[in-house]
This record gives sequence, C-alpha cells and structure tokens, in this order.
Amino acid sequence: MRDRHVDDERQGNAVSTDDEVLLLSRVAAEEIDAFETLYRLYSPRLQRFVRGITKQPMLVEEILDDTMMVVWRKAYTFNHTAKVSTWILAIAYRQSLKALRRHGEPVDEDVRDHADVSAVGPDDALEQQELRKHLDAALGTLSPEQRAVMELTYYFGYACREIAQIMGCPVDTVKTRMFYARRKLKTWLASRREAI
Amino acid sequence: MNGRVIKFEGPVHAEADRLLPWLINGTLDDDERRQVEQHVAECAQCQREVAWLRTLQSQYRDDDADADHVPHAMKRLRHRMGKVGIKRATPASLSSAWRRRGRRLAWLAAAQAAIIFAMGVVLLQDRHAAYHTLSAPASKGSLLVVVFDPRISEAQMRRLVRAGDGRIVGGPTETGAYLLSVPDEQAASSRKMLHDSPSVTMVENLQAGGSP
Repeated sequence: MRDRHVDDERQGNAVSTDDEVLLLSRVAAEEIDAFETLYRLYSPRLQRFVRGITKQPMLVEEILDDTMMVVWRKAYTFNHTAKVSTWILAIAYRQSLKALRRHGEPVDEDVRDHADVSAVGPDDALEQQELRKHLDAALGTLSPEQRAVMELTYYFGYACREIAQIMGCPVDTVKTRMFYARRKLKTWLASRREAI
Repeated sequence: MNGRVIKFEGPVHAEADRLLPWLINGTLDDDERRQVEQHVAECAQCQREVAWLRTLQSQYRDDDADADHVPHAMKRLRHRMGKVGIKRATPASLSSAWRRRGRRLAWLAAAQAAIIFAMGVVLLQDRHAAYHTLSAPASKGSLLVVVFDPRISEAQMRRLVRAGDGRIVGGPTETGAYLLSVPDEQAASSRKMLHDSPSVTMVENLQAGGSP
C-alpha cells in the first residue's frame, strides 16, 4: 500500500481518514469553508486522475468543477461503506466519462478491444526505453476505462478491489481492463518499433 | 537446461500474469502475493513483465498537479452554487445514509437524554430485581457491557450498535463502558459480533455474568 500513502504525503494530504469523514460531514452540513478545504485537499489528485483518464487538458477544469459540485450536493449521501477518497474518485470517474461522451469521445469499448499480442517483440530493453519516451502517446491509444485502471493502480496505488469500487464494476472487469491495457501498450510500442 | 519443466502458459501463469500490476503496487493480499511471487520466481516471462511494469509505474510517479487554481475554481463554484441553489436532503435520504451535522447534534442530545433516562431504568431494574417472582413477565432485553476502542468515530460506534441490533441504555462510565440493550434472542449473536469486532475492546453479557 506504499503508493497511496506516499502520494498522500507528496500532495500535502496529511489528513487522516477520520478527519476526511469529519470534513465531509461539514460539507454535508453545507459549510462552505469545509468545502473549500476539501477542494484544496483533493484538487491535485483529481486533476491528475481526470487528466489521466481523459488525456484532454481542456476538459480537466470542467470535470473537476462538475465533480466537486456533485460532492457538494451529495455529501449527505456518503454512507461510510467506502473511504472518502474512494467515494470522491468514483464521482470523478463518472463525471470524466460523462464529459467525454458529451464531447463525442468513445467510451465503454475497452473490454472487447483485444490487442494483437503476437505483435509484441522480444527486445525488452528497447521496449522499456521506448516506454519511458513515449508513455504519454501510448496511453492515448487506450480507452478511458483502461487509463483509469492504470492511473488508479500505478499512480494512486489502489488495490484491485478498491478500483472496482471506484469504477463501479466487478473485480474481474478491472483485471481484464488492465490485461488488455498492458497488451495494447506493448502492441503499440512494437508497431512503432517496426515503423522506424 | 536443468531438467526442470517450467510451465509458461496455463491457469497458474495466466492468473499470476493478471495480478502482476498489483504485485508491483504492493496491494495483493498475503495469499495472492505468495502465489504470484512463487510463480514469478520460476517464470522468466513474468520476470520480464515485472521489470517492464516497474518501468511503467516509475513513469507514473513524476507528474504532480498543483492547487494554485483553487481560489479561481472556488469563485466559479460559488457562482454555480448560487445558480442551482442548495439541494437539501430529504428526510428519507437522510435516514438511509449520512448523518448531517444537525442530526449528529440531535443524536448526541437524544443519546444524552436516553442515557439519563436509561440510567434511571437500570437503577429501577436493579432495585426491583430482588422482587422478581416466577410469574413475573420475562425480561424484554439482555444487557451487554461494551467498551469500544477509543480511536473509533462516533459513526463507527453507532454502526456497531445497530449491527448488533442494540441500543445504548447507559454510559459512558468513567472507564468508557456503555450499557447496550439487545433483544434476548439475539444476545448471543450480538455479543459474538461485538466480540469479533476489532473496534470493541471488551463485551460482556451482564445477565449471563451476573445472574447465571
């Protein structure tokens, strides 16, 4: 569980889980100061997460605002079955997909998107070098759902079960999305290598 | 060749391969981690994949956003809040989920009143206990003495009390103990549930212990 804690500290989130629940309870009581504190606390994480899913910097501000408006309006529905962070990221995930649909971006196609694994070459060192150089472009070939799984796993350090909670899907779907995301990245890198 | 047959494909490999990203981020539970690590130790393909995934993960950790935009964002949001108004929770939705602050205070006040009332009831019960006869009506509930972990929140405590189908009828005492009333038929299961909870440091059935 190292990443999440490291990331929380890195992003200035020294607030305990209980404190976050308390903060959200104050938001539920419509205390604007608490809402601003929560916004400040979550803004870096949400920006990162939303940008990672959408790959569209122009949409980040809009989605962030939509997410926090939902948090403000729905804070009273928080039912303590998940962590505050899981609850808020789940809202951000749904708002990201909604915004992408609104702007005509395709979503919900990842599980059927079987990459051609046979195209993956054996040159691991070269593959890793290319990954370092071209990760951003490679991630652009994934679906928003696949990118969300990657973000939540590699950046936020969430367990598979927590990711399923955030994305509102079965654990097996998370594993499948990750599986095809990895394959797709490798295929893209391999085809790029062949093209050079 | 050392003679050992390494199985590269198959259910074990496939399952281990699917779990590698969470091996890398350290969130597999102990059993899964043991199984995956055991397989990786024997599987060259998975070892290469682990190296590749570590490179991938390292690329994810260099890019932080900042919160400099918050004042502007809050200005926008205040404007939107003003436009849409504040959507107040309905009583039904409140009862099903979150305790709003007002409700929390109300609950505390109610709990306080209940404790004062319950202490009186308990005292009366104690006084009348000596006069019970065989024909006296059966008890309407069992009493459990419960000490919660002081680190848990009030909401967690309430959830535990409800999960045990109980209600607080006394406490906290100076030692932090509460008196819970639970239906007789559920006394054993409630006590077990509370006993098994890591948020409870002590639970005893008052009747069982005091009057066998």
